[in-house]
Parts: sequence; structure tokens; C-alpha cells
Amino acid sequence: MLIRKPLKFEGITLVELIVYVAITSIVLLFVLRFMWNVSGVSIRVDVSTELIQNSRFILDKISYDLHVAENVVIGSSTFNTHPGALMLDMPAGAQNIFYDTYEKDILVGRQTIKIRKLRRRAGEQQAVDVTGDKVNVANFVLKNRTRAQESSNIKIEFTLAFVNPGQDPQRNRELNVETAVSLRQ
Amino acid sequence: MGRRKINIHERRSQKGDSLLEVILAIAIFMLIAPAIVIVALRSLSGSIESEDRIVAAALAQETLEASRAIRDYDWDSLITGNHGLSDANGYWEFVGTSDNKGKYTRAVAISDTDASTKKIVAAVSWQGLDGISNSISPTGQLTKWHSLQWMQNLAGSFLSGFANSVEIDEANGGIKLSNLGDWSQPSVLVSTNFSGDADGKSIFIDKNNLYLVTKNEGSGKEFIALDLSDVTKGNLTTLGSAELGTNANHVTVFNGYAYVATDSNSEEIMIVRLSDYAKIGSINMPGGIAVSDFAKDNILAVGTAKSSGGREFFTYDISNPESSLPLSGSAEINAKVNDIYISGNYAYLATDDNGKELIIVRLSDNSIVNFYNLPDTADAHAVFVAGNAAYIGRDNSSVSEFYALDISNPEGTISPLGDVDLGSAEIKDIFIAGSHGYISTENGGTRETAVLNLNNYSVEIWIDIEGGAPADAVWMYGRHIYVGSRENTETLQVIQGGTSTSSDLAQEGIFTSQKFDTGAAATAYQNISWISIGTGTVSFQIRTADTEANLNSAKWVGPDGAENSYYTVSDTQITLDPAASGSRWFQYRAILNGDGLESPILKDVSITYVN
Repeated sequence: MLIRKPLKFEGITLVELIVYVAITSIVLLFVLRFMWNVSGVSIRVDVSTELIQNSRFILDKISYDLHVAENVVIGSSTFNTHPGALMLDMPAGAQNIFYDTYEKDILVGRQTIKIRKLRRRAGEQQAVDVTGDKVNVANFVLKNRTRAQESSNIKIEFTLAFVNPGQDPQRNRELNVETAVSLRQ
Repeated sequence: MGRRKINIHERRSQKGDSLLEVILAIAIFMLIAPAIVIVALRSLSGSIESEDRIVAAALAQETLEASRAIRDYDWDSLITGNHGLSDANGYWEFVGTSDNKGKYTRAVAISDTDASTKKIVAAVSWQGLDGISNSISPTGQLTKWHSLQWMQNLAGSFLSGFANSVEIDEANGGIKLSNLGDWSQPSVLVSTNFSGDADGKSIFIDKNNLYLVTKNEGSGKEFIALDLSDVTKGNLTTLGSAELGTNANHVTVFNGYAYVATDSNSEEIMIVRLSDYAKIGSINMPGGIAVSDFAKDNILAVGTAKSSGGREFFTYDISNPESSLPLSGSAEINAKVNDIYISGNYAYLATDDNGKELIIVRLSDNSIVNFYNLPDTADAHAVFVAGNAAYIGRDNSSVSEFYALDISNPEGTISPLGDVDLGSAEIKDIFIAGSHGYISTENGGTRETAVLNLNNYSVEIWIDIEGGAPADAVWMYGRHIYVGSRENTETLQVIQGGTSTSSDLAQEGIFTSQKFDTGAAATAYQNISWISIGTGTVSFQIRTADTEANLNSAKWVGPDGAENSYYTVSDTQITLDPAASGSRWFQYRAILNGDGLESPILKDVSITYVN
């Protein structure tokens, strides 16, 4: 007896393919998310971003104030040591600008730790924080590089360390920045 | 049988399907997974790279700013080429061709754009995580323009400067010409006591310099120069003096030299150089002693005592007093010439001639072209010409002692304008300013000086100066009357009026600034500018020197570097005296001029310079 095997396409239909791709992608997403969290990449990116943004803000603020200032009030500034302080005399009767640091207690998880923050005060107004609560100003040193009677030039060195009370290696990053600004008087 | 076939087929297709499915799944996974992993890794390295970039940007800013600081200190340190930076000595300096800051290498490349501009390129480079070199290179530009400025708000700086007939204008925050003062309440502001029995015989004032000559002082000096820059505050300082050795009768000044008419028989005219108060020469004149003189436009006119066989009026060419003083001409007056005043092309002589108290000599040919006979025979001692009028002061007369004559036509008709009868006074000297005449008299007592009103030809007030001796000389400048007296201890007296509510102002006043130290020997000055309001004019002169002491003897000069020029337009380039000893020390003076009723108000002065 002849057994007729009907010719059949042994393949995947398009719908099946689409379904497979969809399911595989979803599975992959969950797997990779897991990998991502395990490897700590997102933590590293967050820490980096926080350090970069704080550094940029400090640089922009201090550079602008120094460019515009009429002169540096040396008697009220602290040079060559950490923590430093800078008092600027602004032109045309505008209020003096004062940069310094202070220590603040912050809550991380269930721990209370002390961090150092940079702040800026205009005249007698309330001081405004320049750095956020997630970074510690580990170093803030100002050096007066003015020569003879020329326009003032101030060198600024600061180190920002991510607040890491638990000594987590993923969060163990700091950024060292050095710059200088001349007054445009 | 059919079912079996179907089962076989089903089983076969199931087997085939699963293998295919697995293969496809793996294939899809292999396509997508690496992409996601790469994204994850890239974002991490990207954030680390951002950290590197922000440190690099901060270093690049430091590089440009440090170059700027070096430019501020010394433009010439900006040498073309690549340089690293160092602040080891407490200030920025170039070292080598680059320097390292941890993993960053930085350098600044300097190149010339033009003579006073340089282009600076800061290059910061480092190796990234992936071993690839990164760099950033922002650029900047530096200009050779480190300009400094000395700004003075005059109302605030008034006390640190020196004032002659100027005062603070509170309402406008500047300085203005002083009030003329109420002459009915005069007082002696300050006087000087020269050694011995000094008689102040003749005064000449040129801005803030007063020159006085006296009778023979023996060991003392007969020629004295005084500084009037701070007279309004009661301060007079001696600038210099010269020994003449004889009685001096009159002094006149022209172009940096003083010409003194003296009693000497061999040196009737003595010449003193005013830059160092050295007596540089003399003129030996024929005939009698020199009694009067007047210098103007390179001509020195001299009048002598009456000479029976000779002349009494002489003119000399004084264009080069250090080399020669040639006689230009002379005229026969036949009387003593007591005083001379040159106006236009004519010399007006006050004489002892009973019929020709005023004689007019044309200077082009030294010929007598006119005369005027005052009533009665009193001798004319003083003459002063202002505008179209000649004013004469004379000995006690039965009529008047002070006359005003219209000399608009010196060679034509002279008519009287008015006269003042001073009673039994004898006028020795006259000075005319505005609508007032100021006289000094031989009378002494309480009537050594008087202020005359020229609008109605009357005596406005008699002024009793210190002592009771006669006054031989008078000169009015700013808001002060200067009197030369024969009083032994009050040789020169400065009179000021009382507090006045009238609107009469001084017509000229001078504010002299404090002395300013630029701090560097090689200072180049840029511009002088000022702000003034009100009615009138303000003009400036400046002087510089290498030391503070030398500033006192430096010449006041204007925009062409010479003594008789003045800065009249704000924001003008400053030109120094080519003979100045240096440029480290600077001083300016502002001369205010008004019409006697209104004053300009000078508020701020600014000097820009580079060093």
C-alpha cells in the first residue's frame, strides 16, 4: 500500500516568530536587569553623576563670582589650608560674597554621619549650599597666586567624595579638581 | 493506519519545531544581548570619562587664567611657544614646555596675533579608560592693555589737594570758584615776614606763582617766589629766591624769566631764570636807574629816572635771554617813567611830566604817538590797561587821584571815562579786575589799600592792612588781594573778603591735586578726562617727575608738552614735558574760569596709565 506523505512545510509561521521574539526579549530584559543590578553599574553611574554635577556647579559659581569681583578681601579669607574661605568685594555697592564650608549631620539609611558642605553667602543674607547632601567636601583649599600689585589670581583645589558610610566599594569614588581664576578688574 | 501516519508526522514536526525554535531564540538573544551589555558598559565608562573631562576642563581654565596672571605681571614673559605652568613660588610662572598633573599633561601654546595681541591655546591631554588619548584645547586671547586708572571725585578729594580761590560745591558734589568775598569786611588771611627791614616793592603773579621783589636786603634775598596753590587755606610756601644785591623797583615775568628793574648803575635790569631761580644775567643801561618794566610778546619795555642828556624809555628783544638781550629802540620822554603797561602795539607810560602824565609809545618804531594831560600837576605813579581803558593812579591832587581814560584810539582822541577823588591819598600801584580797581597807597595808617567801584567811580572800601606802613604794590588774583608793604614784619600780605551773600565770584581759581605715585619708574600715561557742569570753562595742566621732591620743580604743561598750553577737551591723550625728570610721580591742576557771576563745577577727574 502506498502511504502518501503529504508535503508539509516544516517551518515556523510568522506569528510564531513574532511571539518568540517578544517572549525572548521580555525574558532577556529581566535577566539583564538582574545582571545590571548585580554588577552595580547603575550605582557607579549615579555616584559619578552626583560628583560631576556638584563639581561643575562649584566651578561655575566660584569662577563667575571671581570674574566679576572688584577685589579679594584677604583679611577675611583663609588661604593655604583646608577648610578654606574666600571673601570677595563686589563692585558698585553690591553685597560681598563669602564662600566657606560647614559640617552638617545627615541621615543615611539609619546612620547619622557628619559631612562637610560648601556654602555661599551674599552680604548678610542666609547662606545657600553649593554642594548637595550626597557629597562630602573632603578638601577645599584656596591659594592666593596674586603677584605684586597685579590683578588677583586665586587657585582653587577641592576634592568631593561620595558619602559612603557603609564603605561600599561601588560607592567609593571621589573627584579631585584644581583650577585658577583671575579677577577681571 | 492514518492515525499512525499523523502521529509520526506530528512527532516529526514537533521535533523539528523545537530545534528550530531554540536556534532562533539563541540567534535573537545573540543579536540583542551584546547591544544591551555594550550600552551598560558604555554608560559606565562614559560617566568616568565625564569625570575626567570636568577635571581636564578645570585644568584648562587654570592654564588660561594663569597665562592671564603672567600677562598682568609682565607682558614680555609671554614668549611664543609651548609652556608648562608652575606656582611653586607662590605665583604663576612658565616652566619647560608642559607639565603633569597626575594623569593629565597640560601646556599652553602662545603665538602672536599682532604687536599687542597674543593667542593662547590651553592643551590638556590624558589617557582614558580604554587606552585612547583624549584632549581638550580651549583658546583665548590676551591684549597688551593692563591699564590702570587714578580716579578722583573732587568733592571728596578736596582736602587732600590744594586750593586757590576754589571751594567745594556740596549740592553738586564737585568744586567751584569761590565767592569774591565782602570787601567791607576784609581780613589779612596770611602774611610773610622777610628778614630785616624788607619792603615789598613789586608783585607779579602767574597762576599759582607769586614773584616779589624788595628793597636791598643785605644778606637776605631781594627776589622771592612763593607758591599760591594752597593760599585759600592760608598756606604760602617759598619756592625759591635770588640774591640781587641792590634795591629792586619792579618785576615783570615772561616765558620762564623774571626781569627786575633795579637801582644798580651797571645792572639796571637783572634777569632771573624761574626754573631754578638763578640770576643768569643783566642789562647795563645808559642813563638813570630803572624804575619800571613790562614784558610781553618777546619785548621788554623799561622806564628809567629822568636823564638830562639821555632817554628814559627803552625796549629790548627778550626772545633769547640766555644768549643776548639786544636793544630794539628807545624814546625820549624827558621825565621819570614810573610805570609801563603794554597793550596791543602800544606802551602806556605813567610819568612825572606835569603836562603829560600819560604818554603812549608805538612799539613798532618806539615813537611817541600821543599823550594825555591830567588836571593839575600831580605825578602819575601807576598805569593799568584793561580792554579799551587806561587807568592812572597818581600823587595827591586837588582834583582826583584815580582816572579812567578811553584809549580805543591810542593814536587818536583820548577821552576821560571817569575819576575818583581819594582825598589826600597818593596812589602807588593799581590793579584792575572785572569792574573793580584795587589800589595801594603811600599813606599808610588805615588807608594802605582800597577797592574802587568802576561802575560808578567811587571808593567801595578802604582796607586797613597789618601795620601802618605804605604799600608799594598791589595785585588781585582769584579771591585775594596781594599787597606789598613797607611794614617790617609784614612784607607781603594776602587780603580776603568777609563772608558774602552776594553772587560775585572770583573769575579764576585753581585746584591742584595731591601728588600721586604710580609705583613704577616707567609709567606711560594714556588719557586725562573729567566731568564738569555749569557755566564757564575748565582747563588742565599736568606735571610728572621721577621723585616726589622733584615734582615741586617740574613744569606744568599742556597737550603739546609746553608751558603755555592747556587741556581743554576731556579724554585727551596726555603728553609729558620732554624735559621731565621721570614719570613715576604725577600731579594735575584744574583752572576754573568764570565771568564773575557764574562758575563751572568740576566733579570728577580720571587719569589712565600703564606700567
